[in-house]
Amino acid sequence: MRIVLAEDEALLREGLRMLLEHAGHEVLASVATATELLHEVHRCAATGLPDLVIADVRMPPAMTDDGLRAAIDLRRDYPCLSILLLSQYLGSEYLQRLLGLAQDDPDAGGVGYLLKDRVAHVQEFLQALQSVASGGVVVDRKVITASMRRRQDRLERLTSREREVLQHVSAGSTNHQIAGALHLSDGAVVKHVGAIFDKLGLSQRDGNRRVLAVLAFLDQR
Amino acid sequence: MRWLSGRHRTLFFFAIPVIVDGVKGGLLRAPVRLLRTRLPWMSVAYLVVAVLAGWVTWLSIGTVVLVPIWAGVWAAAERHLVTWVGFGSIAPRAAGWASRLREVAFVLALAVVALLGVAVGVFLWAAAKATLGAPFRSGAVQVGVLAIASPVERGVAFVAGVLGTGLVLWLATAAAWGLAQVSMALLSPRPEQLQRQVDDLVDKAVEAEDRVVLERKLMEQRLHDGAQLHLSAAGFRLGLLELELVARDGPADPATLEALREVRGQVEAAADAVRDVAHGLTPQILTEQGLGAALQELTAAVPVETTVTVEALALPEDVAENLYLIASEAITNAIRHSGCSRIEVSLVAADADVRLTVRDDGRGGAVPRGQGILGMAARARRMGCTFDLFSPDGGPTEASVRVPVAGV
Repeated sequence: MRIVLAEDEALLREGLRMLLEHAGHEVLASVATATELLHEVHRCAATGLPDLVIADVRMPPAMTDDGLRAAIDLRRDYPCLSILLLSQYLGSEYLQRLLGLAQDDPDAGGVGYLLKDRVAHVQEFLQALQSVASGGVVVDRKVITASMRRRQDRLERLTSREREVLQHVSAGSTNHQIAGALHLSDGAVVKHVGAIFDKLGLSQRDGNRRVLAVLAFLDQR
Repeated sequence: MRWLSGRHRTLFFFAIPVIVDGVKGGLLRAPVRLLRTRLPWMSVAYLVVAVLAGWVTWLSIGTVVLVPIWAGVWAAAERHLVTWVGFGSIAPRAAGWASRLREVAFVLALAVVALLGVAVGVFLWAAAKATLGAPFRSGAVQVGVLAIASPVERGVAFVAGVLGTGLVLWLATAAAWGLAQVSMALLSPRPEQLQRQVDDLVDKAVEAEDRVVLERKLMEQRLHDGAQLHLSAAGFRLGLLELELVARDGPADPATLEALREVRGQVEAAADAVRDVAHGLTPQILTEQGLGAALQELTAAVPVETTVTVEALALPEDVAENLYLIASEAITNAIRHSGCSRIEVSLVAADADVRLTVRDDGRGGAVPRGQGILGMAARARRMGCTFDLFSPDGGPTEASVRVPVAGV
């Protein structure tokens, strides 16, 4: 994959670049600010959009949510650009704004929100990169867990196994991946997912639409 | 009532029910029965002690500096002495000069009482000699213009003496009661003084909390830029190492991979621990992302269902920080005391105000007594805002702060 990387901490930026290159990806540019990120992507766009943009949420110039705002700007200009954001925060505010970017359109790029800790789980991290680059929605498990804790009452009707499955569904895993992670058969996962959607009163959907439905459910007031 | 005006009229009207109460409570209703209780004797004792104290005041007036010292000493005693005449003891002195001045006024009043007391005492002594002593002496006794000689005259004088004694005891009780009223009025701490004292204490507590908050802010910054950064970097490096290992050995050595995973688990646990610690401090996210994001992050770890509704408002940093601390205190209280299953936090612009509300569905009955609630109120007061707590028994509880837009 051809990747543009934006992270203000040199230590993390270089680590990430080495990791990506080791995994066989091409890092087109690695920059330290949101302004440079916009500039690099616009420059690359002339020759061909990158497959994925990885950006830290908190970056110069303002050191607030510059990375996220840059991502939103980029998506407006290039709807099929896939974007993965890295953050230190569990809060779902970024997530809500980010999911505003995710669309049903199969041509639209994917979006992802991962905690920086996730990078250490290299297989999981690389898998998430693939998912997002191919148009999927990926959300960090810890963020989902925090969301689910806040919405405990809505999830009371689920069994503990179903809650586990739900966590993976909302993180963007496919049925097959869930089966692998929880040591279940594919059929059992399909059954659990069906039960979850029934109990929560959601209509069954596939792919990103099901992730978005679940996340919307977790976030609804 | 033209002869009474302003403050005196209020005092007068305030005094009427008090006097009527006192009189009804024994002095008038059962004057004879009163004489069989120990109250009249205690009253006499109280008056005698007051007169003696009054003379000490006269002594101390000679050296002016002694007056306030004596006033402090005697006021402390007087606060208990009033129990002799049937009142509850008086609460200790409130802080401030006004209380001390009122104590001085009290001992000066006792000085007047001392003069009156001596005059009354001399008169009573003479009267007692004439009515209770003279009838039993042999021979004619000349009392003033009256001569007591015949048995009838002796009898009349004695009866007058006995009735007079009753009357004097009754009057002494009334006088002692009146004096006790004066001491209560002068020595009781006033509600506004107590209130000010409480406010001062709470303000001090809030200031201390502010200092702690500042320290925590620095601490969080250091955790975020220091420990968290290095832990993330270590995580990145571990990921890289795992990749290298897999790439070099083909099917990787399972024992090494397992060890690597263990280290990764440790690093991750450390990162979680650091995040948890930083989480409880005032969040950097507050300065970086504003109140809305900070409240979201705050409620992310709360074990009950929470809803955060925040309008995008540009608040000055100190206002946002105070609102954040109030919200976090309110949420902590709700979780700790109310047994709620749901908390709603909202920050909206309403009319000319910005209003922060924290509502829970718990059992209610919160009273503004503990430091938590007083602290929230003090914070609001310091920002020039109003703090309201609505918490009927049985719930729900709603704490709200109204920030005037002019202050924003």
